[in-house]
Amino acid sequence: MNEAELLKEVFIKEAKEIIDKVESSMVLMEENGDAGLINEIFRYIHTLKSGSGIAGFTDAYEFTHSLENLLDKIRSGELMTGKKLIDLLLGSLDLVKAILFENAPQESILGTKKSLLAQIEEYMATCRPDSAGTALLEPISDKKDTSDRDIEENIGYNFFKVHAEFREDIFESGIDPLMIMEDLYSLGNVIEQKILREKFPELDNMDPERCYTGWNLILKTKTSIQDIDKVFMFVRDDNVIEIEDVTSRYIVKDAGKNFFEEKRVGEILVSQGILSGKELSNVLAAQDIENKKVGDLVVEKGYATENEVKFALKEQADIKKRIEKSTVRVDTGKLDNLLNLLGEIVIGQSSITRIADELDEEKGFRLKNALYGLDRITREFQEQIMSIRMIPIGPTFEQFRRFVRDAAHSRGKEIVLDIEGGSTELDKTVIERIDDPLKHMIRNAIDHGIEPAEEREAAGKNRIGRITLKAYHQEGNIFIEIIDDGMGINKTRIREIAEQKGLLRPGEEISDSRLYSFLFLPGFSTAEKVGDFSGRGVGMDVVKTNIESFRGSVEIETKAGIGTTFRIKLPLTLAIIEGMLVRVGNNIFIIPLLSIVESLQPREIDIKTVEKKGEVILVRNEYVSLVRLYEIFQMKPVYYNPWESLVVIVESGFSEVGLMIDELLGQQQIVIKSLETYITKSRAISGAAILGDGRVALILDIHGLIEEIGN
Amino acid sequence: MKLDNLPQELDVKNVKEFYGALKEALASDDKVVLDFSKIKRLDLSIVQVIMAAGKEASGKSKVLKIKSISENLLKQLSICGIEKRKN
Repeated sequence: MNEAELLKEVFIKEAKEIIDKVESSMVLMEENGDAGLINEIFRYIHTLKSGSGIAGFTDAYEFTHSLENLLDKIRSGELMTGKKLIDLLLGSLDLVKAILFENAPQESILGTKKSLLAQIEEYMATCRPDSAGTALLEPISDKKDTSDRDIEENIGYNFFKVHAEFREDIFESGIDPLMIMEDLYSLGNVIEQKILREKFPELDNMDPERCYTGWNLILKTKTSIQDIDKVFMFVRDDNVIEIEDVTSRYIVKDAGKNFFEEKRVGEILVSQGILSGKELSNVLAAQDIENKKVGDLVVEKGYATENEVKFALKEQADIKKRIEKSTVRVDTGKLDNLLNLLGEIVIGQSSITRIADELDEEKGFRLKNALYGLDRITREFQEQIMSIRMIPIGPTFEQFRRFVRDAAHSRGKEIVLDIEGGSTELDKTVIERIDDPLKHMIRNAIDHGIEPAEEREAAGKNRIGRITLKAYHQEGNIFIEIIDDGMGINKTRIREIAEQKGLLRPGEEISDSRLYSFLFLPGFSTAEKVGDFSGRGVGMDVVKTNIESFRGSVEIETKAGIGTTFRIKLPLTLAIIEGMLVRVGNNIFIIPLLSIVESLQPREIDIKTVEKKGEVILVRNEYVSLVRLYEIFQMKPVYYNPWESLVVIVESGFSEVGLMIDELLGQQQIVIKSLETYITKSRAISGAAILGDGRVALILDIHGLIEEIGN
Repeated sequence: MKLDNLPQELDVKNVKEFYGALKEALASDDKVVLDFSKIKRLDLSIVQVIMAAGKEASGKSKVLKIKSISENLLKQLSICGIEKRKN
């Protein structure tokens, strides 16, 4: 891959992240019109514009340039946001996606672009047009800062010294340094400028395709050094780019230490145009007397709203995180390899432990001691790798804002999306797989859950319906809930359909959870009519199968007139589990530790056979189905009588069964190896592991096993 | 001499032609006017040629002017250290 292609690839990855964030922010902006959001959106579009230009996406560059101008009008208050304007902004974002990601046909892009530009132009009609004129041009002498470095107007600004010298052959990689410098200049006011022309040849001697120009400048800006750095993101490595924060040379230093710490919230509010330098000075002066937080004083004095301060505090926390952490992008393939290697280390450790068992007592003891130490390090190593793979689910949730907005509008409904627990972290592979099931359940909530506004008002509810996406950790699992405040699911209707389909006898008693679980059966739908999105009864079973395929489970809670909650339970990671090794005949199975309730040796009198249920075992006054694993997997066991063997009671959701085994071998951490290409899919098996002695053990999928037995 | 058949996009892809045309124009005339009425954007390669040509013209007491230059292009030139002369 050549340099230009690599540049494009890196940019496309960045662009995807930016567009997801912008889309979510635009929808939020429609809901609450927050000033902090518009500034955030403006900065993102600015970054997208710069990157497009540098990476050679000229169409995207030109279009985002117009979009940036429109956003500038919004953030300066000259244009007010409303549905029509948000539609235009979202439509513009769709065009950018089509240009960058979808390779859409040129004719369709041109048509849409023309229409959107016309709409943007309508809104921009209040702009001053660019004036044209005839110019005699001359080189300007280097700009020198003549401003008073101590005056109040410098408060709230940052000053950066930038030195930019580009490779002579930079044009060959498709990069225009002038475009980069234009972006830099747009971030603030250049108060000192020196154009570096030492290498500049005479006209007759110049190669017009070589770069001879560099810059030294001081930029006065409200943005951060990270934003300045981003301007040079794609050229940093191969060119001489130096950025130095020289703010301290330009700002009055307050005697109090608090000035610089507290200044950040105030500084952020100034940089967002919410507070003026003078207002910040007033607040800081008041702070000396009243000893209150800057945010509180700003609201008290009426300079900003609580929401605006809230956003500034959030930005402060984000900036702090960015300063504290430096990050690097890692290929997930490399992480998977690391995890695999770690798995091999664990296997090696097991082998050594076996050898230790065979040694004499003293040597065996010393070796095992050393292995315990090694085991502690391996576990910590594993936790570190797993933590790298963990990413917050927030961005996944955020991408649904636009979906909810558009879907609700197309249904003529008013619905907003709330998000809780966005910082909850999941393994990257789990997040990638939860996307589709979540989308389907949200669709269901929009289509069948939330009532139209008039109906809601008539029922005494708020006309705007709410869907909440919530994520949290509990007992070693991740829970994701999709909660709507709609009409709930009609229990009577489910019963009617279940009886029609022969799933229930009339009058048969059944728990609510079991009744609702029928909704996950193929072809089962309570919808009065089929919508564009759902209602055909082919979705929820696929959702359930999808979730179970990565060891999750889903259940429903609902109340008529109040709303419905779908609750998904997911493993923290798909890669590693704590497992109990058990033997059946000559074969080793692994039961996930989280599924085990207890193990016991039953008495003969506790084993019964019940009509239509098969064998059951009495455990603490309750009968649990007994499953002979050797029968399921067609193998020869050591024991045929349960009272001679062991039974492991396992659970999945609300179901419990007792698994009959020959021997418990011990607990171990297991790196899961996928079996897909080696074995026919069985719902009872989720993967395999390689043991210390090189044998392969199959990992039981308890949920799948119970379903198979039930079928 | 007026150079007015300039393409809308002047950049490194056509800088060699622009360079050749401007050199020739300066060699054969004492006053060269570039018509930028159709130009939307310049890149640094073009600005460098203009800078070098401006210096050459100045050194030989010739005149290099740009006609119908937009605010946007003026901004670009200013970033490179070239400004409209105040009359």
